Amino acid sequence: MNERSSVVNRIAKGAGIAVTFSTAMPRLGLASLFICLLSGIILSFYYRPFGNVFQNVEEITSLVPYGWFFRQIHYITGQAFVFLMLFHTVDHFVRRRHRMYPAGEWTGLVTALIACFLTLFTGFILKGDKEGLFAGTILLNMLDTIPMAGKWLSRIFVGSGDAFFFLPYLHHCLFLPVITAYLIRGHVSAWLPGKGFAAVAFVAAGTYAILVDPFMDIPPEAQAQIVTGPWFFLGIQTLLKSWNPFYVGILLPCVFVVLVLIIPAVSRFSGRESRFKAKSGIAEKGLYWAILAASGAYLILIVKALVNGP
Amino acid sequence: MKRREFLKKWMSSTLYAAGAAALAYPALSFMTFRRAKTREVVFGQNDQGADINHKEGVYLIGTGDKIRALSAKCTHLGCLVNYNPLTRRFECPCHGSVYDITGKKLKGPTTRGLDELPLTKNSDGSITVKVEI
Repeated sequence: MNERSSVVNRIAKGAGIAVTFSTAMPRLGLASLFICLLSGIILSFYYRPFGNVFQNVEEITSLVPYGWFFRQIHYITGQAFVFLMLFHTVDHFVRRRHRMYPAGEWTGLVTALIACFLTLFTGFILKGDKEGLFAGTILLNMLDTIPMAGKWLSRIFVGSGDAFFFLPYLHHCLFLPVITAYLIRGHVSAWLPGKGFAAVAFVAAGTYAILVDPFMDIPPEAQAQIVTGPWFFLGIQTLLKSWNPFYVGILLPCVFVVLVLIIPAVSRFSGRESRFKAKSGIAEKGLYWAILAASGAYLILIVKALVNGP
Repeated sequence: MKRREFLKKWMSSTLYAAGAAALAYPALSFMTFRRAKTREVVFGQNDQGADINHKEGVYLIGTGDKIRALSAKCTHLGCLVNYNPLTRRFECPCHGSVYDITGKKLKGPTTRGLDELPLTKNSDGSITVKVEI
């Protein structure tokens, strides 16, 4: 038995499961989430969402002992959790497991994923640099375009003046983690990572923190030729150059989410012995491929924006 | 389901919904209230050297009597525009909207030009521009 497989076996034995792609991902993700939460609690002792937030973040990175380490650990474990959660959802979707699970569980998974992306987005704003400031402003103005409820929604997510960062902070540290924890509560006890998974996640995050320098933050008053949003927003940022903000930033993502949410219902309907069985079978296949095509197209937009700029 | 049961359920659901709305409206009004605030950006005589001056999100354009103040906020989604001295244009770094020196829209996704801001000339030669927050 080679060394690698013996490590995998030991992890599997510790967690009491067979380690496969499908079982390892969520457990590694949960281990990342725990490390992310711990590092977030440590960072909150110095981070202040008022006044000169950029200076506060720069002090954390360069002045406070081990601030750079905890910032990097927080960043990479947050990204890892969302990536692994995304893979987990895609894994379920591609294997069509949404047919087996209750619709509520699928809805919970998708909603948790959205909450995770919003947590990443608010975290991006909280950097307090030019990119963060612009990301917050763009979110506020995009929500503003929603007919009737826009003003209310935008003011729930982003503050104004001195309190600009306070609402994203509240969402990042309180509301969104609570929503995510509530939605994955059923999994937490079942997936509680064995020591092996926690150790792998910690060693990987620690190695990243030590080897990779933090990204350069752009001071808010500096001039930058191009300002980009977080990686998952780059596709929308590209589309915003030529399309209406309401359609691109609000309507399209909402339609996509609704399509993803209704697929278990369509699948179930097509499985029944009814006269609509054939038609709904076609509808399910169409929906499945439409979601895959839309996700693929968006991924291409992101990669293109990462290579050539948005 | 009997008619009476259905009516009972319908009535209780309606009451719950009305109660939730009665609570939600004041809660949302409280949470989303913003007091209208303005801040003042003062351009001292030293800040008025060039024909384009920038300070705290405001561009002061021109000299003497023909002076104007433009908000640096892009009218598309609110990023702050950069002034490009080579092309004498304002360019948005987020989505590529471009404005001419007078703030008029030239190209990009924005639908209108940059907002003009009210300014006051003070007796000591400085200029005060009021900006809504």
